[in-house]
Amino acid sequence: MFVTDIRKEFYDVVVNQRVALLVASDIDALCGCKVLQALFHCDQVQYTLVPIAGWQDLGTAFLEHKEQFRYFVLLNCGANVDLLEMLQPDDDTIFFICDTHRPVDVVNVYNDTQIKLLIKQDDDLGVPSYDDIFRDEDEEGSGADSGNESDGSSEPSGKRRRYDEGAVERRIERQRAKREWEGRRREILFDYEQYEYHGTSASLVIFELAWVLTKDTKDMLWWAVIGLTDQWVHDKITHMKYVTDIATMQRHVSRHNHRNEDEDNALSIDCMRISFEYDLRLTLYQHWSLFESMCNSTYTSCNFKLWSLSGQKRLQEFLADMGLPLKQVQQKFHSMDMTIKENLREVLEESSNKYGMKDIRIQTFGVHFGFKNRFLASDVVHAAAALLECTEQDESASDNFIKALDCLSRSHLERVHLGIDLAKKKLIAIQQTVASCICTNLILSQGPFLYCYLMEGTPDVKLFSKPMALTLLCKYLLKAFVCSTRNKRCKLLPLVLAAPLDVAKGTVIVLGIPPDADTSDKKNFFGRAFEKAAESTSSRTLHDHFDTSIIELKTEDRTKFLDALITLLS
Amino acid sequence: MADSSESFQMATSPTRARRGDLMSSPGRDLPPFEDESEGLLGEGNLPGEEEDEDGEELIGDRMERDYRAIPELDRYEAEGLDLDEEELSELSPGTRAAAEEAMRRRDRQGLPGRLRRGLLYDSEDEDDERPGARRRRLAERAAEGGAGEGEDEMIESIENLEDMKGHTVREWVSMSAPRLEIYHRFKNFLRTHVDENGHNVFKEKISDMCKENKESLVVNYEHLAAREHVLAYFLPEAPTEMLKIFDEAAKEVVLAMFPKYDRIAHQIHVRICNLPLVEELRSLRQLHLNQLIRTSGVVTSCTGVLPQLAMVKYNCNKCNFVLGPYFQSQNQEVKPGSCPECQSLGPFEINMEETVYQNYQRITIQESPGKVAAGRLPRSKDAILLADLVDNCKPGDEIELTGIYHNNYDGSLNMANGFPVFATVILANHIACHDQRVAVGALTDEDVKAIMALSKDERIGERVFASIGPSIYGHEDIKRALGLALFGGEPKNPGGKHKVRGDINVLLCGDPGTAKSQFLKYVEKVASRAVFTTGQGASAVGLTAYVQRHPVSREWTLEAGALVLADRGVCLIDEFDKMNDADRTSIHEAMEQQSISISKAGIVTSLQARCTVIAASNPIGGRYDPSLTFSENVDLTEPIVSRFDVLCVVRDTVDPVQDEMLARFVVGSHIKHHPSNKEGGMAGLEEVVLPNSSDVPLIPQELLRKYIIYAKERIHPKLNQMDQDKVARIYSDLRKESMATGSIPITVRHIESMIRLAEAHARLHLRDYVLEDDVNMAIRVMLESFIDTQKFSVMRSMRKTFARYLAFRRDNNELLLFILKQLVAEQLAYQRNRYGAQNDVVEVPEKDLQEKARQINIHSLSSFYDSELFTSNRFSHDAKKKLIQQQL
Repeated sequence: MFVTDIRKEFYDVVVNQRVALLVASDIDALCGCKVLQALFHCDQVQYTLVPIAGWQDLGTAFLEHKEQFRYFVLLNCGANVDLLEMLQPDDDTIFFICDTHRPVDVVNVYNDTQIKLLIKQDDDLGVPSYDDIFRDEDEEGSGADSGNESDGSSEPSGKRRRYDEGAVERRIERQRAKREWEGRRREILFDYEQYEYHGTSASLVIFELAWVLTKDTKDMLWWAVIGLTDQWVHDKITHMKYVTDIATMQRHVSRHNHRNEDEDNALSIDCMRISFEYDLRLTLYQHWSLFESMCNSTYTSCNFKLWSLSGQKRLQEFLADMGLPLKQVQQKFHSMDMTIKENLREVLEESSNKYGMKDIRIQTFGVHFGFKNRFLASDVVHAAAALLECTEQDESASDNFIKALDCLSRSHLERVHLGIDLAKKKLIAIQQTVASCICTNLILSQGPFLYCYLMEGTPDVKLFSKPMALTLLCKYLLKAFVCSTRNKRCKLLPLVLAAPLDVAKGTVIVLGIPPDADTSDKKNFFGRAFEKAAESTSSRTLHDHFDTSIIELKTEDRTKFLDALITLLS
Repeated sequence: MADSSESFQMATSPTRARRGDLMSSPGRDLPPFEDESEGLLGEGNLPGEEEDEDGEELIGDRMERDYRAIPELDRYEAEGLDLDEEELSELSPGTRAAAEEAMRRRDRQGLPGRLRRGLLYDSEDEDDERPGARRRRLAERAAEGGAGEGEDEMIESIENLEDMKGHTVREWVSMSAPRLEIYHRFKNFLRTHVDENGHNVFKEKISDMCKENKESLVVNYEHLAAREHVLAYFLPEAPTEMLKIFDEAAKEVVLAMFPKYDRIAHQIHVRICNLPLVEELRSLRQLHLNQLIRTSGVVTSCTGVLPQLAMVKYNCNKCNFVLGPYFQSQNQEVKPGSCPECQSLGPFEINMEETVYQNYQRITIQESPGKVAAGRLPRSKDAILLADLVDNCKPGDEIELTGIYHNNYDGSLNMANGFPVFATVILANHIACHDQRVAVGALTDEDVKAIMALSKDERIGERVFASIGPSIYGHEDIKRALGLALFGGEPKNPGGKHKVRGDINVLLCGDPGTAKSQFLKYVEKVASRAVFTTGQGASAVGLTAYVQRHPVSREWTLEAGALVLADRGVCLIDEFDKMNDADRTSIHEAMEQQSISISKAGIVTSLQARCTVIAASNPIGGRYDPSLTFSENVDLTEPIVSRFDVLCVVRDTVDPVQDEMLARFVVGSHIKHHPSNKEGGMAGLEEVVLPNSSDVPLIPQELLRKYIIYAKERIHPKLNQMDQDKVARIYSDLRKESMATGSIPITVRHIESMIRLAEAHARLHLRDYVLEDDVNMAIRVMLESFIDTQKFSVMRSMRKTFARYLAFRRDNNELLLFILKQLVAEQLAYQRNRYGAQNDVVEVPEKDLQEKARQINIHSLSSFYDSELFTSNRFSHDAKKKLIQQQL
């Protein structure tokens, strides 16, 4: 059931208990976790933090901890499956689920006792009404038995049935009604579950809890901002939704800035200032050179078609148009000439309007830690994502998780810088992969969707076995393809990207994303489609990721699976 | 007139409606008339004012209509005058603005007409007046000539730019009115010049320039002359002034396209290229002073880049007032007289912070060695490079320099001569390096197409080899070696630690008169960058690098030697054996490490010398003795011999048939290439040339040159599926043989050589991967080179051992011919010994040949008998007698 009063129904319940915190490995969940940790810290709540990567992880984590804990808090996982069926918990176990994955499974919604959904109601959830999908237990049970009204009187009714014509008619009537109802239910459920999308970020929900408790601090606010920005960076929510949530955030930010105007906000070495920025849509540009940032940002790169020679020329022309010397833009941003930096954003916006990039600026937040360290929310998102999916050393996933978690706190700024360096490498790898895919025409139109397969042995392919990097690549690739192709029909197609996951096991990771359009509602139908295609071909797939549109697949089954997918969607 | 100013009428309608007449001339709205007659001009624009308009040329129907005589309008002009002054005050600011706007628009429309007028106008009766009085004069003339004409004439006085009213070009150009006109015309030229395809030339050029953040805009003089002949005429006469105007105009055009470009570059420099007249450095005279000249030469030295004062500001030491800015001219120092603030006479100090500097470099160019007349010393001249021209060329570059020939006062020169003379210097405007010209960038699309087409030919390898030195008969092995050397292998640099060279070094050694030097001379012509030296004329430092004290700056400077100058090219050394041993050892490093390290006179450095060395030497005693090994034959040490990848031994053997064909070829070649012999003068020459070039068509030399450049630049063959076993086997075999016979040492270098040769062969075919074929060819060349160096006695047995490698790609017929010739030679020797006399006809039993052929797996000889090779060598086959005959 949905929690209406998050404080009473969630926080007051867990505050004196031991809690297991199961956190999915994405940045939003990390941020939510940070906020929650800070709250628990205040109230001295004992908790155990368990990072989980997929459904299997969730299962094992639950098994490990179910003896010791009654209360489980799930961040960014668990909402979109029937959790009770999957985990088979004891009756007194209670799950608090704060998840952005939509649609929420109906069983989760209508279970009043064990499942508590920490999900903002104002999201347009469109959950079908109870009556449409459930009948009362007894009715349902009897329907399952023999289509009778009550199972207590099954014997007499059986007798009656033999003689009572009217009763037979009624029964037939009832059965038809039931069939109809079931048909409608399937339809409703299909409509409801067909598309997968994301709702309000978990960190924002948790932050609002902190706000309700009046325990919110600037750090928490900053985490909430990062959580929201993560949704935007990984293109999980629509632009509208982002702007609305940003507005919400801004209210909090100005409240905080106002509140602490006198004490905290004074410039000091350890102060923290969050400010609303109308900043450039260039990735990491404050920690890179402007030129490289432009080369590696999806937005500019796709607009200029930087993978081609003429695109490079156009970029240079663009820079000349802004009056930015190449020498300056190619050096580190913070060592760039002050006179150039002064009104850089305005100049860039003016020129990019001329070059057809109307929305190069985006509402976001920046933070100052002391005097030296200035980050945009997206910088931190990229850094944390890079740390979380670090492939460089063979460290365990939980190590990476801890590192990413650490990089969010302001006492570990060196880790942010480390993460930023990793993120740069990742972005360059993505850019190069996109360029080579576009230049060698690796993206094929399969009819109902576009398909691209990253070969084994292409550089950096290991990087793309991770879901977030793969998602970034996939979105970038589709955008680049849309910009470069002349085929009008192809521009409206979704993209399926497959990359080798584990060569030894012979598995590939497959990801489907919705078509790239400004009006896109970011709703993804590949989750269901993958399931069905896998079922129909009995391919060896693993639907382990919380996003159902990311699956693992045996390499040999790839063609079979793909054919099924084509027939399914066309 | 009415037509031309429709829009104007619309704009001024409020005024006119109020007045209620139909006059359309805007002139009367303009206040600054000086006298009555001025008003007659109707369109009484001041020259300066109208020049503020951008000179856009609206060519269209209207330009003709402008000249239509419209009597009624002409008549109105005069009347309008009276009204004019009365109504001047009545104009509200708004209407006035509207009127002015209309005027401006009308001016723009009028412009094409004016240009036309300017050209047609007959200027001979122009009296020589000072320009200040021109307005009055024009007004008077307008009054005489009728009011209608007046308005055009007013403008055309400036349009008529070529008429200088008795001034010198320099004076004329620096006057403000012509200056403005030049400014506009040039701007207009930049804006509107289109090439034959209709592309706006300068729009693209400026855009390209801005993309790379450069500040030089190259303008082709020929284009300028075609469009604006007056400017083109003024430019060489008064270059300093003109270029300044051009720079300003160019800057404005650039800023119009990229409004913020001045944040990147403060100045735009117009560079003039393709000036038609090229002066030799030797022929620069007083006549050329202060003119734009174009000359060419070799850069012999250049100074460091120094900051030169451009705009100077001074601090007054007394009151700290900042004086200036003063523009610093090229030849004298500007000093302020007195401080405007405190009236003190100094002392003043240069204000370091606010003074603007520019880059300054002085280079010395010298006449190219080839252009100096025999018996004269090459002359040199200093040139000054400013701004972005600095470091455009380095010593050793052959450059073409366009610049202003300037004189400057030099005290020391006066002292030396005893009377005032001037030192001269060239203020560079444009520099074109010759070396860059041959780069791949210069290959046109057609060239590339031709190259690609050529590479499709499956016999391209043979064609290229045959085209090397087409006027030299025979010596296929040398041609092959040189061909591969020209293409070269692929240099490698594993991990940036040490380089492995890719160049193929070739040593030609042989009897005199076997065209060795000819080959070298040929390579010099065909290679993109080649330096030719001879062993006697080159010293150790001359080949590597030497340090000398610069005569002007008294600094130690480094002068590059032949091998350094040949970097990325070919260094040709003739008479290699005549060189001192000490000198020869100095090139050891260059040949293998491809660099030259120097530590002399406080300069410790390493110069790049990535060049292919092709050397020619004579054997000891002048003739190659086949009974001795190679190392016994030449006076070269082992280290140096092993550094050559391919050794070609050229033996001058006596072979009556071959000699006759050679003689024919030489005679034919001489006949054919006589300078006065035009094309097709002699028929039947083709067949004389034929035997040499086997049967493949030759590639034109120019195309071959481009082909080599293209292949070297674009193709980088990789070794993937190379047959490693084969190379390993060959290497061990070779080493064994070399130990046994002791001719030349076989070292690890030779494996690398084989790889290089294989890569070169792949590159020749424009292949990205080294194939089996390439390896086979490399082995063959390698082996041939090795076997040639053996004693004659060993050679035969070795040929047999390696026969299957040697047979690669060799025509069966050629092989058979070789065998046949051997048989004939045996037969001849037999006859000579037996009978003491020589017959005209030699007969060889067919059976012998068949037997020998079977040994090398050739079973059918009939095609050989039918081949041209067979008959051209004067063999005939008698099937009945089973004999092969050769006519001697």
